[in-house]
Formats: sequence, C-alpha cells, structure tokens
Amino acid sequence: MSSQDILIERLKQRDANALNALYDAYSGALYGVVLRIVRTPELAEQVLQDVFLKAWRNIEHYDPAKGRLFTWLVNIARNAAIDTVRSAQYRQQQKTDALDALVHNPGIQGINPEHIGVRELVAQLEEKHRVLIELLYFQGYTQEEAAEAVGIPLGTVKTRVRQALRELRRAFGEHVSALLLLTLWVP
Amino acid sequence: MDVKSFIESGLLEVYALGQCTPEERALVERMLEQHPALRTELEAVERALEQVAQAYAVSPPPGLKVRILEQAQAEAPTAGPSERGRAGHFWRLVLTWLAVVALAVALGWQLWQKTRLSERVIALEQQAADCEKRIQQQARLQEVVALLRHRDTRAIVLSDAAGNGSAKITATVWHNPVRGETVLDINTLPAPPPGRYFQFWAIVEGKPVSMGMVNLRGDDAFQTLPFHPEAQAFAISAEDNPNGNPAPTQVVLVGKI
Repeated sequence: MSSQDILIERLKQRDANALNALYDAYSGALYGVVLRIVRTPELAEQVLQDVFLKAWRNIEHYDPAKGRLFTWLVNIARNAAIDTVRSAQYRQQQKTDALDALVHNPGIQGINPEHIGVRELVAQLEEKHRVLIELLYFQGYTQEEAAEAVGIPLGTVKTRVRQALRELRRAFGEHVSALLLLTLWVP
Repeated sequence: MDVKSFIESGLLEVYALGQCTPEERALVERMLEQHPALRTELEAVERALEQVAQAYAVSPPPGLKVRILEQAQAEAPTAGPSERGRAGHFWRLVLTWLAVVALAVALGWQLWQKTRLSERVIALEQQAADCEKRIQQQARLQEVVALLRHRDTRAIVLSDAAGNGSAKITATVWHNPVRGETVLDINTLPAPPPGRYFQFWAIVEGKPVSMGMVNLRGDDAFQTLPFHPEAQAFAISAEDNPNGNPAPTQVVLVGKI
C-alpha cells in the first residue's frame, strides 16, 4: 500500500488529519491552477476552499483505478474555477481578454523553490507545446477551443499535446535521475 | 484496439488532461480495466502533469487551511465507510429490541401497579365506608347518651311476662315523655327462637298498640321506637310473621312505665 493509498483510506474514514495532509501536499499546485483561471486572489481562495470541501465530501466517488488522486483534484479545481469564471458576476468584474493576456504573458504568479528545476524544464518546452499545456491543463480549454485560440487544426493540437507530454516525461525522467545521482554522490 | 496503437492515439494524455468527451472517457476506462500496462503509462503522464502543476504552485493565503479544516469538521461525518454503516445497522437493531423489551417491561409493571392500586383503592373505599358508619354510630351513640342523661328519661326494664322468677331475659326501654323519645336497648335481648320474630307493643288504655318489629340484626345496639304519649306499659311478643301481627300471639317481656 503506497502512502497515497493510505491517505485516501484515511480520507474515506473522515480523518481530519488526512485532509490536513492533503492540503499540505496539493493546495499550492491547486491554488496555482485556480488562480490562473479566476485571476483574483479573493475568488481563487473561495474556489480553493470549495474544492477541498468538495473533495472531502466526495472522496467516496474517487476511484484509484481511473487515475491519480491529484488528477481527480485538479479536475475538480479546474471545473470549479471555470464555473466561477463563467458566472455572470465574474464576467462583469473581468472584462480583459484572458487569452490575450495569457499567450503574451504566461503569468507565472508564484515561485515554489522546491520545483524551480521543474519550472525551468517546463520553460524549456517549445513555446508551441507550452501554450497548449497551459491552455488545456491550466485553463481547462477543450482541444477544439485550444485549436481555435492558437489558430491551428484540431489534429495538430492532438499531436502537439502528445509530443509536449513526451517531452515533459523525458525531461522529468532526466531531472529525477540527475537528482538521484546527486543525492547518491553526496557522502 | 491493441495497447500500442491506443498509446499512440494520445487519448491517455487527453484523459489525464481531463479533456475527454464522455465516449472517450468510457473507452479509456474500459482499456485501463482490460490492460493493466496502460495504468503505468497513464500514471507517467499524470505524474508529468502533476510536476508541471507543482512547478507553478502558488502558496494560498495562510488562514485558508484552518477555515477548510474547521468547515470540514463542522460537517457531520455521517456518511462513514460501509463497514461502519453495517455496524451502525447492527447497533440500531440491538437498540430497537432493547427499546421493545424495555417498553414491554414498563407496560407490565404499569399494569401490575394499576391492579395493585385499584385493589388498594377498593380497600381504602371500604375503610372510608367503615369510618363513615362508625361516625354515624358515634353520632347515634351521642344522641342516645344525651337521652340517657336527660333528667326526665326513665329506664323501663322489660322482664319475663310469664313471671317465673329468673330475670335472665331482659330488655331496657329508655322513655322520655318530655323529649318524646322511646329507645329500646336490645343489648340484653337474645335472638328469638327459629321462625319467631319479636314485635314491640305499647299498652295504651289496657290495649296493645304495635310499635313495629324489633330489629336485632343491626350493628346498632339501640333501636329508636315510635313515641306514644299515652303508653302505660311496653311489651315484646314473639310472632310467627316477620312483619308482625295485629295482636300479640305470645307476649315474652313486659314492663310498666
């Protein structure tokens, strides 16, 4: 049983300590995603609170066979954030073109020192790949919407997403290997 | 679809990005079930994306965690795991039966108490009736005592009419012409022979006038008789008729005023 399985088991038993651990592990990454979509810290905070409470209430519905816990959480977060953005209230507040701002200024809003290496790796992704990851993963665009936004055919989007993830996986693999080597070399 | 071409299709990536159509999602989940190898592939994609998300992590405002934990704990943890549910069901059943048994016991006790109490009530009612009777007797006795104490009251002892000496059988009549009262003290009068009934007479101008039957069965030792102002003597006769006869058949006791 992995530590993640234990965490899930304890969440299902309504263990508040498990929720605490879940928050410590994922709140930053989830807040990053939510903030990129809703764009105001006040709203993002509200959305993130809803996301954790939703996860807490619905942990029974999470099926490990269908994916990792974080994937489940990030889907909840993304959908909650998009719902907020689509609400009439939000639209009145935000009149700026989110996409325009994003493509020309990929707002990296916070720095997580532990992951600086990974961020550099992401930054090394080809621009055409990075934008797609940004749109699909962080912004919750459908592939069709992303194709329209970037101005490329849908088929190209599919190919590039795949390439981008391959590139990422390879980069992470090397990164992790390098880290592993480093730790091994340190006496 | 074989595993290799499925991986090549890029659907796993789309799935990990949460961008599948419902049909695509159903297909991916079916493939994951059938081919465990795909799980590893999916996990690699997910880990890559997770790393990206972690790379762009932003620390949420400091107070948020406490608020979430408080809110989560405020929500009643009712929907526990199924095992706890079964245990809960078991205990509910036990509690239900305990309640039924307790109710039955309480009901039985109540009924027993009720019977006991109604018996007690009957006994008390009996006692109250006895008391009432005693009070009446007491009042009657006081009346009799008042009569006895009166200076104009005379005691007339009725004795054996046959006059054969033995004064064993007697009765006393308390007579007061001022108060207009005549009371028979039957305390010393024995029961009449079987089939005979005592009748009381006043002798007026030498003739017997019926004053009614002597009542020996009452608890009262004193019997108030009709008052006859011109009575000269009193007599008790034994009669065969429980309601008495117009003339005395066999005079038993006689006493002159």
